[in-house]
Amino acid sequence: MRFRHPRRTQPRATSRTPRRGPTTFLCALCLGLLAAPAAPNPSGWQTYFRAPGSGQRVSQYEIELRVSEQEKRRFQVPGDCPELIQAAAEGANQWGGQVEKSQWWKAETDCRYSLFLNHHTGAPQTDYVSGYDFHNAPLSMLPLQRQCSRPETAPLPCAGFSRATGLHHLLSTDDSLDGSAANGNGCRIRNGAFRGWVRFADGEIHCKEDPAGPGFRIVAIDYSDVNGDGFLDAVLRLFPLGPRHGRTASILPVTRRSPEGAFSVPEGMPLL
Amino acid sequence: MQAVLNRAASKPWLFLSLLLMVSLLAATQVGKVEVQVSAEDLLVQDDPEREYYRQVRERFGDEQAVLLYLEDTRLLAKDKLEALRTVIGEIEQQPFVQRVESLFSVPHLKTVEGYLNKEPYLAEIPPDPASAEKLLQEAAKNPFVRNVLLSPNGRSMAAAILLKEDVTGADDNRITHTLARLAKPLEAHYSTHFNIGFPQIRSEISSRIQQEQYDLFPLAVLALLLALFLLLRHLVDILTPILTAGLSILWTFGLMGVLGIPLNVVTSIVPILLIVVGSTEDIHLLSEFRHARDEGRPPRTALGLMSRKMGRTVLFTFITTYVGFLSVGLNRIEVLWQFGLLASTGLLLNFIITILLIPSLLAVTNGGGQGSGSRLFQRPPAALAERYWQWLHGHRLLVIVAMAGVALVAASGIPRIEVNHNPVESLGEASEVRRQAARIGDQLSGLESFSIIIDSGIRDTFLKAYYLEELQAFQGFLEQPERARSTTSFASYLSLLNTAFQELEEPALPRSDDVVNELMIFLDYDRVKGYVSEDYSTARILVRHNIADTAELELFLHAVNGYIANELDPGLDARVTGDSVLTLRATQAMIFGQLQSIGLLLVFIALVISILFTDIRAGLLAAAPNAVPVIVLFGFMGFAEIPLNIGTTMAAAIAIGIAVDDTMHFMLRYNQELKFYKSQSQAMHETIRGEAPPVIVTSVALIAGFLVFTLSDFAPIQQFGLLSALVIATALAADFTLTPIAIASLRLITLYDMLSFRLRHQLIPHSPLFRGMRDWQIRRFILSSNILDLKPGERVFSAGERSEAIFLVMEGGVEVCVSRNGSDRCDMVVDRFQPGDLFGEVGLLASERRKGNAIALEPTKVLEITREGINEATQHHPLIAARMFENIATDISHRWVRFIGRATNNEICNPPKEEHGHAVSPPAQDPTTRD
Repeated sequence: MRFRHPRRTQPRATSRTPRRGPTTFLCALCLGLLAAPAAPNPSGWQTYFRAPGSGQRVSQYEIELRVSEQEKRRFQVPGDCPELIQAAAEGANQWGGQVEKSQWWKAETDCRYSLFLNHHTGAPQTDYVSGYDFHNAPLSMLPLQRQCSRPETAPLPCAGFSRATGLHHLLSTDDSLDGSAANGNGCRIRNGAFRGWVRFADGEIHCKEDPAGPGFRIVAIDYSDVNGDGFLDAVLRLFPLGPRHGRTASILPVTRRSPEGAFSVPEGMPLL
Repeated sequence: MQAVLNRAASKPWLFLSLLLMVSLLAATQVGKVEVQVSAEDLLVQDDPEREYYRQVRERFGDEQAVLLYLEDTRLLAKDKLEALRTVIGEIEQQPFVQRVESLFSVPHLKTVEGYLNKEPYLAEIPPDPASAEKLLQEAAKNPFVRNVLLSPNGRSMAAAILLKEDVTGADDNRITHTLARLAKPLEAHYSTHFNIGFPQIRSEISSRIQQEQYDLFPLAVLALLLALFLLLRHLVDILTPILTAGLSILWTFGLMGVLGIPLNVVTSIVPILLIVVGSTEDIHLLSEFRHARDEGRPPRTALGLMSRKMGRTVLFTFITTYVGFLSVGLNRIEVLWQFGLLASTGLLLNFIITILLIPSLLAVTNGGGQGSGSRLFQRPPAALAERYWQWLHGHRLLVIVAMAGVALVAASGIPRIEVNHNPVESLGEASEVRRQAARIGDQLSGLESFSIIIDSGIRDTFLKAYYLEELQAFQGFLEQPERARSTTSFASYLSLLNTAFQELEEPALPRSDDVVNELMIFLDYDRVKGYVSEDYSTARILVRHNIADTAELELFLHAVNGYIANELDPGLDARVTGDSVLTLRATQAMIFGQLQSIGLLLVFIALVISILFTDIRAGLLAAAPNAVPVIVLFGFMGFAEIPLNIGTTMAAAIAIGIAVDDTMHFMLRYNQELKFYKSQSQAMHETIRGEAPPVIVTSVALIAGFLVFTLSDFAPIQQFGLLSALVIATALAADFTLTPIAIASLRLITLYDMLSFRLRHQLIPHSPLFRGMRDWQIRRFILSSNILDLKPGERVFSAGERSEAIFLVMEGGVEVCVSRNGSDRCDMVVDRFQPGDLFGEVGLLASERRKGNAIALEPTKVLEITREGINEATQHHPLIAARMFENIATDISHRWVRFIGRATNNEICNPPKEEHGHAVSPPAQDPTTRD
């Protein structure tokens, strides 16, 4: 399977002023959120979603959600995200059956993610991430467990996007495993997916790849300066593979401050 | 009835004109009759299951589709797929098509670059054989494709053409021909291709029905003509039955046109059946007429005799045949109900035409000549009939044992009978449509289907992993070998979705509710609306199978219901419905209807004959010879592996209804002969002699007519013809063996003879014999007695005979006289007896031989109460007997007193002159000497 990098809508330039879409600050006072358009984010990168129903890759979608016992309303994601989040906050997402609640959840999650990416409006000055091939990255290059090195700098300890927790929870461990070292060629993401079993020992990761085993797939990589520190961050959207896991995307924002170093979770991310 | 026949004979032109007018009127309506074959007609009427299935279809959609079947070794070659895509595109444009499901449209759920891809399997035509093979392997994993649209070996595939909801059976021909035309270009690309579905099957049945009307109808007429020619050889006698049957058909078709009743697979045999059955009464009437003409009677007198002798008989035989046909209408299956009503109505019309046309025609044509042309209408010599009866009577035990043996052997075959209610099977093995249906069954999942509706009553139940697993487990059970070829459900689709997301090799259900909820975000409800309700409280498992055998299907459905009862989560309420279920219910209704028809018919026959002859034994004995053919019929079906189906289920009831006519003819004739011949044996000779020709002629004509049905293209109709002919033949044998033996053991006196108005209301209540008795006691007593019809001068008894009975004068008059010198003449009249008077009791009670002669003075009817009857009454009805003896004693006492008085007055004298060839004298009432 051949993977492409997310399509850039403009040539990447660390020193340029990103083209911004029609950003709107609706309900910003009460929610502290920035409405997200279907246009590229401030870093100049387009964000894609899985459309409800079809599951296809789209940059925006319409969804009809029940907002009361009798009434349904159509929202465009991400265009109508502020209204959608406002309606959810008012309890509109409690109506309907499980499927409708799941749709609410999907739309809300996509909206919050969009807002997460667009929280900081300034264009990043430094980019050490967009040129990296995450689809074939060694596991050791990615943060396995999020380390909250400077909790005092964040609004809450290890705060940030709720699912930005590292790769650890997506990996299935097998303590009897005696595989090759993670920093070797064996333990790596291949063509955007890792499937197999891992064992952590002596600060190293051992793995055994298994095409039918559990694992994860990078379904999307978004680029944005999510914490506003001037360094471009990559946000990996990972879907678990294998029967043990749900189908909810895990968000793994990663960044690095040098061209060759390992990636870590950016600190001081917005709480959404 | 006699009056109607006489009236028709007296005003022939009036009735012929009337018949002609009605016939012309009917002819104007015949064009309105349509041929219509509906799958629903083969189902049970007003079945709540049908309504439930309708609701299910409304909620989840139809189970059925027309399949465009394709077979080739290189199924997915580029040229073939391009041609197929074009054809499917054209089919989709048709106004009767809702959509077409094929590999061009069924989504191949997969993940591409992390996103869901729902493009169809054939979104792109495979560029090479390896890609094509891989695609087939992928498609075969999809439960919505495997066995439904693609055979497991990858050599056959299908496109399912779903028709619009408003499409009805009336569109069958158009759909069939349009689809055949559109699929024609595929001929050049695929080794085999055809369209098959219920429109094609119905269309085939419909065209066969029309064809059979042209093919079989002339054959039936020819068979009847041939039989009539060989047996009767008289132009009028040959043409009359054909004419009455023809008019009956015309009237019946006219009625169908007026009422809008269409011809279907079963009612289509009614015209031919009327040709076959409608001729029997004609033959009996004509036989009687010819017999009278052979005796030299003029046509007018012969017609009168025919009316008198056969009027009542044809009425009763019509009633039994009518009830036989009508009893089929008791069946709850639509087509059988329609057939029962239509055929019985046709028969009623035939009866009306027969009783009006035959006397009119014979009167107009003056009988069509002298006597009968055939020796068969000339009664066999009395000696032959006598010899046969003597042989039969002498070997009656042997005959009964032989018939019982035949019945026992036949009965042993009954458990082997199988049931088959599959309309496709009815087309016969040579049918192309049947072969195509069988091909679908072999290569794909078959045309048969049913649904299992599982309801929890709670919203979102089937969004829980546990309940999805319940569905999956149920499907696993259904897909065991020899059961369903394909099962699909909401769980199947969710498995595919989950598999696509998780990039699994084989379909697997999500294991947690959370995963289900996440998957639901990407579910297109339109794709699953056939499997789950919008609130996810109700799910449907669609089961496709190729089980054509009804018994196998019954076992399968029994197992399914067993699973529901024992294995399914008790919180779920499951119900099986669908075409297979309705078919099975129709089968069960058919079997029940069959037994009900036969049972009711035999009871009815027994009842009618019991009432007619006022003896329950007569009814039972009449039913016995007709029960034998039923047993033989079922036994033959078992041994010959003829299944119980829509055609054979009618055979027994119809054939018995017809066959019992011969029994009735025998019994009524015997009853008539008994009035003229004191000897039962002689009455039986005459019965056999008189009834043998028409009974044989009608039976042969019926057998020939029914055998015409064996030329039908429909297996059930073929089998119906064969079995009906068998029943008639067996009934004929039973009527010449069991029936004479049975009825000879009875004294058949009918209510008509016994209970005239005057007798019941005037004479009997005032008779000294019945004084103080209740009506039912009188009736019971009379029914155990005999009636003697005497001509003037005929003797009730003669001097010297054993005294074995007492007599009650019912009509006319009797005198008792004695001879002084032992000669045969009457020297002294002892007494004269008028209606209501009793005589002959002294001799009986004294056990003395008769002292005098009892002679009828005029046409006289006398009730003979035999010693046997008195003994029976004493034994079984002591209260009646006690009252009778008291009455007799009173009567004798009164007469004794009167006799003494008259003797004292010297009123007893010799007869002055002779009348009616015997001496007449003033009555001398000496109770001790008068008899």
